[in-house]
Amino acid sequence: MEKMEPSRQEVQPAACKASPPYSLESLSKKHCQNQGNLLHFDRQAPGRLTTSPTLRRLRSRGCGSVRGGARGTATAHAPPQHVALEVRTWCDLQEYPGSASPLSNKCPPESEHIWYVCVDTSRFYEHRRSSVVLNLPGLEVFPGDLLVSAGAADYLCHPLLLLNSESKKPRWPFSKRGVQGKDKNKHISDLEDCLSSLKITDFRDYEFHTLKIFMNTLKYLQTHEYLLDVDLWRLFANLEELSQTSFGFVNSLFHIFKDYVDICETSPSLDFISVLTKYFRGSLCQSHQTYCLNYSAAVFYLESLKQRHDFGIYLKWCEQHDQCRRLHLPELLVAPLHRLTRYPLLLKNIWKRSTDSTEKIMIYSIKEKVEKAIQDLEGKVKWLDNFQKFRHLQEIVVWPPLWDRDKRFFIPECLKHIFKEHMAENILSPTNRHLLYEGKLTLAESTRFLDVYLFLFDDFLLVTKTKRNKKVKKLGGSDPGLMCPSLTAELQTVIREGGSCTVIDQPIPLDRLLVRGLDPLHVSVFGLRNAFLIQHENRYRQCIAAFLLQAQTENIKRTWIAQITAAISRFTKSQETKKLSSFPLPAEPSGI
Amino acid sequence: MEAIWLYQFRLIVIGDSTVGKSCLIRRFTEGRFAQVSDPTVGVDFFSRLVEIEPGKRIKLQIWDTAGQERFRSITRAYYRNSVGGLLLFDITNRRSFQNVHEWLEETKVHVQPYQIVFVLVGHKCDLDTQRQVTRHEAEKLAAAYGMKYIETSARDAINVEKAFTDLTRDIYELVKRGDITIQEGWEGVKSGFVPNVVHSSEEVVKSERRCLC
Repeated sequence: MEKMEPSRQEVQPAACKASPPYSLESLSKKHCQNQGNLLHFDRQAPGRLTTSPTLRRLRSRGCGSVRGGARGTATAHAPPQHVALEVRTWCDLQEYPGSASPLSNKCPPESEHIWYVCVDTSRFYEHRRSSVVLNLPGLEVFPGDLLVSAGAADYLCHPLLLLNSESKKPRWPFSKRGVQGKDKNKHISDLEDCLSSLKITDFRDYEFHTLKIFMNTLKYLQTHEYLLDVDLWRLFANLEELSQTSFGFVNSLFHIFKDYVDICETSPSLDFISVLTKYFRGSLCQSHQTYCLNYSAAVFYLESLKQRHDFGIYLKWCEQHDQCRRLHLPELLVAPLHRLTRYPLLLKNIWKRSTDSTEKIMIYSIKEKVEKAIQDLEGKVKWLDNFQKFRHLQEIVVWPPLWDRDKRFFIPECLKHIFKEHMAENILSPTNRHLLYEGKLTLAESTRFLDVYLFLFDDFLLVTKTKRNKKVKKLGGSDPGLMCPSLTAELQTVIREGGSCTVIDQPIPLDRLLVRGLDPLHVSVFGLRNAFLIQHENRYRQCIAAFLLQAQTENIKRTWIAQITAAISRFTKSQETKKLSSFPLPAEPSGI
Repeated sequence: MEAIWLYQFRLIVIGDSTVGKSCLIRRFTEGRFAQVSDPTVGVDFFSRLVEIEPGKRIKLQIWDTAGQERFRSITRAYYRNSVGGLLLFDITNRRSFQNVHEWLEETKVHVQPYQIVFVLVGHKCDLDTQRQVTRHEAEKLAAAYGMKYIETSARDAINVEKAFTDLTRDIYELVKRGDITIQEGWEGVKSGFVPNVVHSSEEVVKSERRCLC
């Protein structure tokens, strides 16, 4: 999976054409002199974006004239209620020779930095809220984009803060920076201050705008050196790109309809098929796929981040925003997924209503394509899940050497090299087998009860005993965010505590396994409840191992027996067909 | 001060494709029936207040799963944040009835450790002449899984209100008895909302603790 690569461009803060006192030249000069000695804050400056109802009222009374965007790009696309928006693009800079500001000098020319800054400063002059527009080279201001305080301008070009270049990005846990105790409180209150200096545009009905509020707020905080160790990509993946592609799609479609309505005499046909084709055959599905593939991992990562106080403050701040409609980040993250799954339904409706036969065929094939993309995605998600799960299993399942497994076997030190086993990697490889069922049970031994964890694969059953290790933390276990979301809660606890699952006995092949539920009357004598017996037979049908297992409830016991029985019969069947047919089985389609 | 709603319940509507999930939700939340369903892009869920007793309102947040029927590995994440669900099948489509079991198994795995209350809904009951599933067998299946069974029609607005309010009432009883509790980090049940406290974003920060009714 490739990360989103911003286009390579030099950093050039955008000029504020419309409001002369904020010309970039003067701004940059003053920036280098002294931050505290900055420009006057004109609350009613026409170029200033605001969410303040008072200000909007003032403006609507006629003091602020509506200004179109430079190049007429973004504002033209924006719905009418967004007219107060002033968009500046880097093209404007050409008109400002003085724009070679110290800001851009700070940045190496090869930087991948992508921010555009339109400044309206006051932060250091008075303690009022102020705003800066962070803009992207896509030349549009997206709704939900942030207005951030002017102080951000100083940080925007800092090479350490280039959010998209992994190598340069510092990963400082706060503890390393000595944020503890008193400092921690200060850190939190600083974070709150930082958030309070931030405002969000109140534009609605855009492409995943609520999600972008979260993403951009986080970006903003990171430019202020908060939450630097939070991985933006792991949370939001390619949201930026996805949002732009979706926006482009909706926008083109809207324009075609608009043109059709406006000049319907000259263009009798409504050619929206070309737009559908362009986007659905283009990057729209791919962008969604990339996002969705990351989705479950993102939700999991979010869960682990929620434990942090500073992250919690950030989340609350965003969630309290009106536009989030009392929704929380986990449910907002799912939005692009919903979108993708609705496209086939919409296309089907268009197909139904279409009267032109060639058009119908085109729409149908586009619909098929999207459905195929979804099916592929489903397959990929499953594959990835399984792959990651097995990787973790390889880590936590421990195979003790023969002499440790059974004390009968005496292997002198000098012979041990013969028994080097590479079992774990081969036997727990995702390409060879599937994990069907797993769970915690209690194994009754002659003198004690043992906590065991069973893995039922499609060809064998593995009985392991769980070992907790609360002192030593394994590297993989220290960051719960790195863990696989598809692992069961029990295994996650084991990993978190640096524990392991030690194999008790050799794997039991399903064709050598017998399972029987035990009559409650029989076993209650021994104080056993919900028990069942697993026997391991050798090639000669002699029993070589037996496990008396106890489940927490009768239901769990029944499920286990049913699962094992079903797995056995499936395995036997597949063995038979393998014997019967000399041809290899056809490859599974990606969706299964 | 009287709360606008006592609780917010999140419900999901599941079942095979074309059983009429979206239509049922639309009928309930918008009071209309669209001959051709138009999935609204950008609308992730629908909301409606339900009065279960005089003065006692519950806000329902209903998530439509239309289009996601074959996309389960990735949508399962939000099953777990629902407290209740309507499991739909089409009474004129035997197959959709046979899949009910599968749907239940699927959800059961993914809602853990929380629980979810289901009602089995036989939809499109206006098409009685084309019926392929008898009421008797549907009731038997529902009983086997401890669910209620109800037959609805979005087109003729039969039992749509009842399906949702009965489910809401059942969940409410469980919440009242303490069998279902509000939990941090779980979206299934949320506490109520009291009006006239929140005016602006600044105040939201201060009055973020909501009334626990």
